[in-house]
Amino acid sequence: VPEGSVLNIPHSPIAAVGSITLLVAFVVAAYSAATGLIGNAQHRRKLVTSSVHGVYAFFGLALLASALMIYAFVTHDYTIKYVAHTSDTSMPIWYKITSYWGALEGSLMFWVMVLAAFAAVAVKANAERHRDMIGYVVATVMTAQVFFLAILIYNKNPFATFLTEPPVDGKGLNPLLQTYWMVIHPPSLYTGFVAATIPFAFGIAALASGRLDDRWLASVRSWALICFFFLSLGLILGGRWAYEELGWGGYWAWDPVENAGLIPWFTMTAFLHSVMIQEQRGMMKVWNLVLVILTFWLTIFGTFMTRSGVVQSVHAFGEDNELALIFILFMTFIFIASFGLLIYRLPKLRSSNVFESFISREFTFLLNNWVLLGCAVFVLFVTMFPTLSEAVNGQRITIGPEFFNKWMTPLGLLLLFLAGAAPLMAWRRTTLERLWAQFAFPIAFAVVVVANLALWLPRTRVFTPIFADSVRLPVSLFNFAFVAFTLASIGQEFYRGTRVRMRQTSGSALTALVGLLVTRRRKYGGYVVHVGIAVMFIGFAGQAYETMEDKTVVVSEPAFKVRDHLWTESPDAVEKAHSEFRFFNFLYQKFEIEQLDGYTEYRATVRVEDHDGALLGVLEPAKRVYEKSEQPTTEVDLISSWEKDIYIILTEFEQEGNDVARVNFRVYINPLINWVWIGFGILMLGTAICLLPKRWVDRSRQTSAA
Amino acid sequence: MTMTSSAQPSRPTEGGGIVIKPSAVAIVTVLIGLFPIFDINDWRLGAPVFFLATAWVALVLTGLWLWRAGSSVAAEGAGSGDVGFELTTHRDELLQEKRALLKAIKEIEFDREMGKMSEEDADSLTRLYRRQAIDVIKALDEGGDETESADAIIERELRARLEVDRATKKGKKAKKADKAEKADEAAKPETSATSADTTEVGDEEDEV
Repeated sequence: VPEGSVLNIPHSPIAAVGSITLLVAFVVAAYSAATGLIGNAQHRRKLVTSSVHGVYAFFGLALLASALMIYAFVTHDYTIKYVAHTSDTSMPIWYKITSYWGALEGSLMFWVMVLAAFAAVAVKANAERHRDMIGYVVATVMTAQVFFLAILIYNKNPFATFLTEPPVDGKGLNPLLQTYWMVIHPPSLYTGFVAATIPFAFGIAALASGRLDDRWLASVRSWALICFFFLSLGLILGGRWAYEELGWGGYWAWDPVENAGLIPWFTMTAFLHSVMIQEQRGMMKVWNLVLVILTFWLTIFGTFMTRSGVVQSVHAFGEDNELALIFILFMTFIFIASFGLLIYRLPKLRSSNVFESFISREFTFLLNNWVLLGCAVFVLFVTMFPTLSEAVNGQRITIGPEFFNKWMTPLGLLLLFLAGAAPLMAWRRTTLERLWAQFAFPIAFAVVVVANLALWLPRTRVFTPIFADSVRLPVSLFNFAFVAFTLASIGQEFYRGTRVRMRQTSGSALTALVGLLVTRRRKYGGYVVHVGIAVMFIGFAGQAYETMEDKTVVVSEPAFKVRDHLWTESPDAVEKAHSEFRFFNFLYQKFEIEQLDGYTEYRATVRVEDHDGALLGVLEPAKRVYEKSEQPTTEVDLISSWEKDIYIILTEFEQEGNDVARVNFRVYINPLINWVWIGFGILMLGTAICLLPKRWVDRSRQTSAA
Repeated sequence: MTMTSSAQPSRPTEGGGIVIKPSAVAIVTVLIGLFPIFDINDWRLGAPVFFLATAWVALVLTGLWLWRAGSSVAAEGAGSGDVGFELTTHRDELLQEKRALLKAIKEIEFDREMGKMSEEDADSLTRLYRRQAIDVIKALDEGGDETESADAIIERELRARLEVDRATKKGKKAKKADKAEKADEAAKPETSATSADTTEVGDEEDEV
């Protein structure tokens, strides 16, 4: 019996009850899966009902185990190894609670908890409506639970106790994780991953039961959006965490763990579009099932990547060959069972229609799906390439972010163009004349914007490589052109849609707009998401003009300057006279060493002025050395505005006795970066509009009718 | 005294015994358990008390749901039948096709008004889909469907469309007429979706 197994009955009462709870949960999950499957297959209603109650009971057990684990954290029960390894007495209460998902065992248990809650809600909402397939839904979800619980019970028991005397205090949570972004980033990403299980379960249930009409889609639309919402939230919060806490100077570095969340995001986004083709045209039934299966499989694959040690990352959980093998077996099972079932049902999955024209919305959606799937395959392959190369020839060939950027930039721009073009198309077909009438304004707007940018902001004319170093294009201008095109396209859609609704309802423009958003919330909420994506691309464009400079100051020479690339006179100004540059002036003022609770902080103070000498702010970059961690952490400081971030890191310092002789800084000027966060806020708003419950809409309609 | 898994409240049985609802037992058990948890902690709600209380509630709920799961299995064979396990029938497929066709007609209408589709394309596609819808409705009628006849539905669709045109011209006056129309249709649940497809352009998402 492995040391971490639940079968090693621990000494602590909380640990003992927790371990027993996990064992009972395993039995209940297995029971529910079996009764759901048999009940549905043999048409035994009571058996299916029993499996449904099993789902609720399982939720109760998962909640019990989670509450016990957090109770152990807040009461400092260091007899439990997991508690001792990831927390200590001095940590604030919120970090103690969030330590629950701060390491491998807890994160797996948190996964079980969230899936248990989602399964209970999904089953409760659909048990009657889909009573002919709910047993299969239960069986699918609970099979996933059996897998995760098997891992917890076999060798990753979070309630495992020390075989020897427990420590007096814990080791504490990794200092890098002690930030408010990490309080919400991991649960958001896990929630996104877990939400992909529900569409998968309904897809499998539809295949197993033979009910392959559109009804299963109606039940998974919201879950697909929830998955999209939380994956997006998790990714962006992870980016923000990396930006503020890791001191990368940026928010995205194509790290394998980041990519693990991005890959299923691509396939789920593809599903959200292709599902509309099935609803509108009765087409792509097989494709939609493939996408839900793939998305779920990729969430498990992402978990495997981050927890098995198969890829190297700054925030992976470490190497574990045994765990890797268990994951590989489960992924193989999912793949064979799901696609086997799909092939078995292929004759019943005929399309009701055919594509009538290439100039149609469904065709642009199809293109969007191909590009998104292409992105997913590309990122997956390149992320795994170091591992694959090591397996083939024993050499680990690493691939840097530049390679990703060269390929993903054109793919991203193509997606952005489609985000603007697709809404302008009609379903089925449209004439060239009508097409021109739809495209004229967005194209004209894009041309005007690009001409102005190129004229007034010469730096935007910079050529950057795509696909290869030899292929250089004014990517930045393309980027702004597509952003302008998409914003104009969506604006036009809202304007014309509002006018149509005003004609139909004889209401005011505001009433018509709100009515449009509410009654066609998926369509127009989706357009708001497109606006968010376009705004995020403004921020992505800023990367082309970012500045990164390393500066060393000494007490006798405390001032230094950093170039502002965005406002240089021309793209090749680097070669030109000094006077053509704009600068930010930095003035090092003091250095302080402060002993705080659990760590020592080394902090510099720097005054920042603009080109004309006006004060922009005072920055205090620092380094912290924690008593319980060998690794010092970087405390970034920055000045934010809509136009740029001035971002400074204290990289090194040299002490001479009690004084500091030399201080090294790394300064980034990140133009337009805040548009990434603003765009993301709009994306969240759009997703929330799409998720507006039908009940609310009905109620508001009744109120307005009264 | 017996326990039941039904949702009925506690009530006397024919034999004079009392049937106790399991959820009532659960609530009482939760309250009994919460008392010592709070009492030991001097009735102060801190994080440990909150999570311990949550654990207790979860434990009791687990017991309740396990009881219900067991009761369902125990009731197997007592006339459980296979109600609700029918696979898609031909009628289901026809109804789905009808919904899809009416939705398609409405979407074409909207695209035409938005200027995305030419009059000719919109007319020819609408005619095509309406013909198909008529065939489907007729097939449903022949299968003993209780909805209106195909002719009646088409007539009503036309009337609804005229209503929309009038609304465009007469503004608020026509809006009232539209509401009255909708109120009439609300009284016919099976057919309301059909007419709403053409009268309220913005409502298609809610019908599916």
